[in-house]
Amino acid sequence: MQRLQTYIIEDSPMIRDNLIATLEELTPVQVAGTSDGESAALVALGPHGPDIDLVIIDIFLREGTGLGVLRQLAEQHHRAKRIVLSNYTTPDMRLRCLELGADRVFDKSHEIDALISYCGQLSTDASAMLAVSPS
Amino acid sequence: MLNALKGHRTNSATLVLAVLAAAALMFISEATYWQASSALARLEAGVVIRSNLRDVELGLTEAQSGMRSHLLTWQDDDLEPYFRGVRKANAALAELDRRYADDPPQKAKLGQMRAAAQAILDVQAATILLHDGGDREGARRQALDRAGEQDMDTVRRLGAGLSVIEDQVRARDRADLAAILGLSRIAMAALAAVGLVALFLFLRHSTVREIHRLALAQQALALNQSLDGEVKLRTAQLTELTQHLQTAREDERHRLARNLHDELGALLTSAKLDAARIRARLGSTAPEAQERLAHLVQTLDASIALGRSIIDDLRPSTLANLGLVAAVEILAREHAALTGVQVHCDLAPVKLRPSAELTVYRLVQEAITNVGKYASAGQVWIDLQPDAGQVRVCVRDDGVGFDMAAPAHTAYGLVGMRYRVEAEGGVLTVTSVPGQGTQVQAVLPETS
Repeated sequence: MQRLQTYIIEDSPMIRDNLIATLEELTPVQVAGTSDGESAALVALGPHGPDIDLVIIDIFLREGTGLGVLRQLAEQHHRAKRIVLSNYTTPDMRLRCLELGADRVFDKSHEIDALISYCGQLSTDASAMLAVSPS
Repeated sequence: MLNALKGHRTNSATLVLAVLAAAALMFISEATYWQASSALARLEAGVVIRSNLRDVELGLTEAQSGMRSHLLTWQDDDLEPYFRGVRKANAALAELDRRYADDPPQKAKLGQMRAAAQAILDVQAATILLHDGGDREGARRQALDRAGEQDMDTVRRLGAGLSVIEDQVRARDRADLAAILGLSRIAMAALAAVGLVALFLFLRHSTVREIHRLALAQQALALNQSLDGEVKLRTAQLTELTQHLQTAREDERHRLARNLHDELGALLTSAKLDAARIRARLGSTAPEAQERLAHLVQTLDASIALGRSIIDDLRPSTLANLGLVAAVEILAREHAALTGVQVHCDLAPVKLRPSAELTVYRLVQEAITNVGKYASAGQVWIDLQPDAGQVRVCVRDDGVGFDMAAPAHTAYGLVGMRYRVEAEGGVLTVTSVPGQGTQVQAVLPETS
């Protein structure tokens, strides 16, 4: 399975570290970089940054918001998949995130398993796409 | 206190002195008057006596002269002076009698004088009678008789003696008068001195009292000012404390929320992640362990849910991160979703302090909750508008309303809300008409 180059935007070190460990253990995710604020993230995800397949975004950051990141990524037509992983996932917030270009929204506490499955699925799809399309 | 008593004693002493001085003055004045009056009267009397003593002599001399003229001229006209003289002498003697009524020594002398004068007059009368009777020779002889001259001398001698006595009396009277006037003069001077002393004492006393009174007044003023300052200080402290208490609760809540969210939230999420990894490891082995793990995860979920609800109640994260308008919109939509009530929002961005924003948020939250609980409404309107330096927020429903006069309406949880709104410098108004719905409106000042 192809590893998914992943960028994580999360401001809690404990969650971030644990998330990285979990995702790398249970999914094809390869964490390429992290940041805890909007501006740093956007720099990393800009044209001069590494190739990223997946961005996992928390909404409430140390600086700026995940929504801002989503907006910018949408404007850039960034090719990475965008996942919102947050503690604050009211229906309204979910709708907002999806409107701003998020592919999925997962709740940090209740939908960890779903996140893991989705990441696994992404990787499979990516591999499948690579396999199908000629290089 | 002691000063006051001393002053009181000095005061009555001064008063007594003043009364005594006045009495003394009166006494001296009266004494002087009476003594001087009587001295003057006696002086006057003295003059009269002297005049009369002279008149006796003059009268006798005049009578003699008249008699002699008559003898010479044989004219009756010349008897006029004689009669005049006799009258004068008698009148003078009579007057002297009266004057000397109370003076035995003088009276004695006067008696002798009178006797002598009478003798002279008798001789004169006899002489005239002789002459007029035809005995011219006899008359002439009588007229030349020197014996009459002895009597005349007696009269003169006695008159002089009485005059001297009068002089002595007059001199004594003058001396007495001078003495009494001198005494009066001294007494007046002494009185004036006493008066000045009394006045000085009085002025000094009243000055002392005035100074004392001023000192007391200043003390009172200083005390008043310091009390005033104390009151102002206490009031300021109280106001500060009140403001502090008002924000303390929210600050505390904010802090708790922060802690819960940051620390506890991270821990719980971390635990969930660990659980996921363990489950993956377990795979399909150890079904009991898997069962335990599933239960553990449930417990974790419950903890997370509890934490979330507490956090959100303590610090609405939407408000902190998305702003008041968005937060109120979310409240509205969530309520609509929950109760099926139609919620219409008309929200404009407003400039408020964070504490005021929180108050508005809580107000809308409380009002909406009340609508859900009591109003049985079909529609709710939420307005948030700036309005000439103020912010107006209004939650209106078309439900059953309530009777505003009834005391129960304070139990709708808006009493605390009113306090919070007023603490932000605003005014909360609740109006309701039974059957026509309720309106909760707050007006707060904008921040600059």
